[in-house]
Amino acid sequence: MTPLPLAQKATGWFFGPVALGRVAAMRFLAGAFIWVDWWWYMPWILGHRHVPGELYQPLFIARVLPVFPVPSYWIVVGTLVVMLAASIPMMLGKAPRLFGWICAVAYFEWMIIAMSYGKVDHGKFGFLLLLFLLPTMPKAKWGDRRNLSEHVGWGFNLVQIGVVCTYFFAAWAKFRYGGFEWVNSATMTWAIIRRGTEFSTWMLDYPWLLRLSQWGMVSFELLSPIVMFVAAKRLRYGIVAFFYVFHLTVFLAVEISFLPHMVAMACFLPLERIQPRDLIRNLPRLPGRIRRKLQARKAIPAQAGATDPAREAEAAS
Amino acid sequence: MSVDEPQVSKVRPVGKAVRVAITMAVLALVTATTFWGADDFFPFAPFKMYSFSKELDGWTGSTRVEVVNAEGVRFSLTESATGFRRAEVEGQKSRFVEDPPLLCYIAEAYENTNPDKPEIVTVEIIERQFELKDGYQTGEVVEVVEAATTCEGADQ
Repeated sequence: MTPLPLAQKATGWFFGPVALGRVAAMRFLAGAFIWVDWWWYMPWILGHRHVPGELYQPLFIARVLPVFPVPSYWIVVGTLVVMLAASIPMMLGKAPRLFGWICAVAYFEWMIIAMSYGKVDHGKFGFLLLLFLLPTMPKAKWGDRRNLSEHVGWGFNLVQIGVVCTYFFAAWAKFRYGGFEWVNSATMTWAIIRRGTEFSTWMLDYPWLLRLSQWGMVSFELLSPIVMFVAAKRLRYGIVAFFYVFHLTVFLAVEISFLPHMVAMACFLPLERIQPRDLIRNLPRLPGRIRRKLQARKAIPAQAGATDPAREAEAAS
Repeated sequence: MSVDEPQVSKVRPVGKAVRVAITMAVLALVTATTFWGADDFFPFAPFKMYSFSKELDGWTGSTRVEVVNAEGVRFSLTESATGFRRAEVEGQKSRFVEDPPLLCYIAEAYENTNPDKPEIVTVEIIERQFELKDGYQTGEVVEVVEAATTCEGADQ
């Protein structure tokens, strides 16, 4: 049976080959975030080691799967130690699949410890997907642009879907809980009263501006799936850059950063182009190199892509 | 095959079917929990950060836990003093209101975190409510003790 061209195209969308270099970079970023997370981003999770088990309220998953113990001092500390210990070889690419699995399972237990006392935080969905998909990918070297893999393509495609869902369904959650009138409500005013900064409090005097920003946010969230279907790479990177700028703006306005989400989103970018060794060696000369590269690109706009076979091969990533 | 030629490792057809099914399952779960689920289904919880419509007229509240220790000193418990967050107090508030002696477990968390400090005798959840008009505080403030209990010797 020959598959229909449309079906072929659809499966191609799930399995666009991605260079292995990106896997090494994402492993490093994921492990690095785990260190930032327990120490700086969510330090209160460790505080749960002192909270009596009577205040533990198991989530659905823990009630269905009887593998999650009631957190005690040593369960909390032990989970942290295992998670941190496994993250280092994962970051450095030593037995990355084995340590990736250990890291993913330990981090999931860490999240169960965090979210089972009456408050669930959102915005880690993409990062959790990333942690569980990285171990399905092969061992990889930084800067490897020659070996491409459909396995990796599928994994990062699913992480990207998770990232986009976080935006897209956040808009629907607003409609569900706040109603369609959310866009005209005073939610941003309330957010800035609660946690505004010197960059945002002036906006309280211009409520129409805040309402406009709510319209803007919901439109961008609803339109975000476009990034999954854009073929032109520059446009795609441009949209991802817009997402990052959005998070920077939100952080400056109300100091909410969605850091793990931003880490997961990095898999949209061609991180396989990063060679840490070359980068460190060339760091002092970097501004000059960028300038020369831009000039070269201006000089031969048409052939720029054809001269580099590795770049051609990435077309589908 | 030349050295520069890229190598693409392919997924076999069965593997493709399994993987597409996994992606579809994740999408189905996240869609379902957005419209019908609740936080309980973490990690598939509705992404409801700042999703409530806020009225700038009415009452808005702020919850705190206040305690009195064995030396008679009254103070509010912070997140870092207990490891139990304010949002978690709010999340379990109905439980505490129904069964106030549960508040002693917050006292226990404080004593575990600060073993050298005097023990806690009473625990109260207090909600301070502000009246808002057009987003401005009218100055009208009401304090309500929502739950209170005495824990003397509770954990001996």
